[in-house]
Amino acid sequence: MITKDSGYIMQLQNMSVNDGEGIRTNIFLAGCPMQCPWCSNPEGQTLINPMTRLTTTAEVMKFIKKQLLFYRYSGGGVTFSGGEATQQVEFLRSLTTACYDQGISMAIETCGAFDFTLVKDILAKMDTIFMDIKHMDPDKHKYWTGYELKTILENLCAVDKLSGNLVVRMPLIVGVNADEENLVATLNFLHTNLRKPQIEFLPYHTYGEEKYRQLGKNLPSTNFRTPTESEQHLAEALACTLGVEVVSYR
Amino acid sequence: MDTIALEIANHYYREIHQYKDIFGVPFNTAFMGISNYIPMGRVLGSTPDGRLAGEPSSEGVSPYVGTDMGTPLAAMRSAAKINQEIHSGGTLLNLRLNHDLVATKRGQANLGAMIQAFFALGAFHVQFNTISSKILRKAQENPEAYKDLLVRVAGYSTQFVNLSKSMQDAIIARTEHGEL
Repeated sequence: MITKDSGYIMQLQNMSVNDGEGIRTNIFLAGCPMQCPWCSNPEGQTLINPMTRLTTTAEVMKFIKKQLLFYRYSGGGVTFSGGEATQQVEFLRSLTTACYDQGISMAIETCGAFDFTLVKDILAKMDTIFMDIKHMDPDKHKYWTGYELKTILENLCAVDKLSGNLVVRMPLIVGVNADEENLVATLNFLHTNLRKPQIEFLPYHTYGEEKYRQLGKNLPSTNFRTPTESEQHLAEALACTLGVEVVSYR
Repeated sequence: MDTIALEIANHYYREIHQYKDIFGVPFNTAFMGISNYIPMGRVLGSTPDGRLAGEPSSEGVSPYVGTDMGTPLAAMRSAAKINQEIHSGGTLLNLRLNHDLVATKRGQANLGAMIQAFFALGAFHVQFNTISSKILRKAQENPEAYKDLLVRVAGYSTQFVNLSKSMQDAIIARTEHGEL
């Protein structure tokens, strides 16, 4: 039975080191309002499937408790990821309240597809907020993700007014969004609208393919390509020129 | 599982400590296979951890090859539970980390934090290998090109190419931990 203290997760992953400061536990919450065909976590696109399971806040907190010492020494904590972590908003609120009460530093990875008024209190508790921008062209954004760009950009600007450290993440996918025109448009938007514009480019990868097979889904298109090192550098150089700081959590 | 290990380790100490050497000093206990875990394993029958007869045993308090399904942090938490103060010969933990994990300043800081947290738990010893098994396999195939490749074996570092084939295989087989 689903209560506000329970929900569907894909995985609890200790020793995560690339989604915030220090040594962290990633909580992958299932369900996503976007349907990006390049998704590296396809098991997170739906709430219930063979690779997700129901859990409770108490169970998650018991799991996290064993990691507190590692958080403390490394400056780490918990990162809520997915899927889209804000999809199960009551469960997320329950988890973040429990972590907050224990003084655990929190971060969230979000695609930005949420009703800001419903999640503002949750996001305000985050030390770091990673928010994605997949594409800057409204039609292409809708085509690729199935979601309106306008909402994402409005939410980005709203999140920027919160106190947490905001890092924009962009999956860099040649064949979708890695062209110069789109990069310039994206970076210009960030420079114009954010207090402290920061971006992390995440090169497209195919490590999720095994999960597609397990779920019996078709593999992502071979037209999606990982950027070469020079393509990645080009994007970073553009960001530098257009006044957006390039950051890396590698 | 940790409780069982602790119980056996304590039992081992209680039994061994009853015996004395020619100077009348009780024998010490230790969990430090050094490189003896290979020849010792060869004369040891199969064990409940799934290890087959004749295979190398676990080294020190390290998880037996293939049994550490969690993270190095989980291995550390388990290893720290042993009563370090009674096993005066040492309790050695060997962990292999994916090179990526320590390739950046951030990664190195995290490694430092891991070690600090481990000793805050009351642990005695830990050492790391951070070479990818891909490179080790290459070194096995082409030793001439990898003469200078150092690996921590157990309590000492040595040239990988100078090790026996079975020792090389054992090092490659230690579960490679990266971002899990």
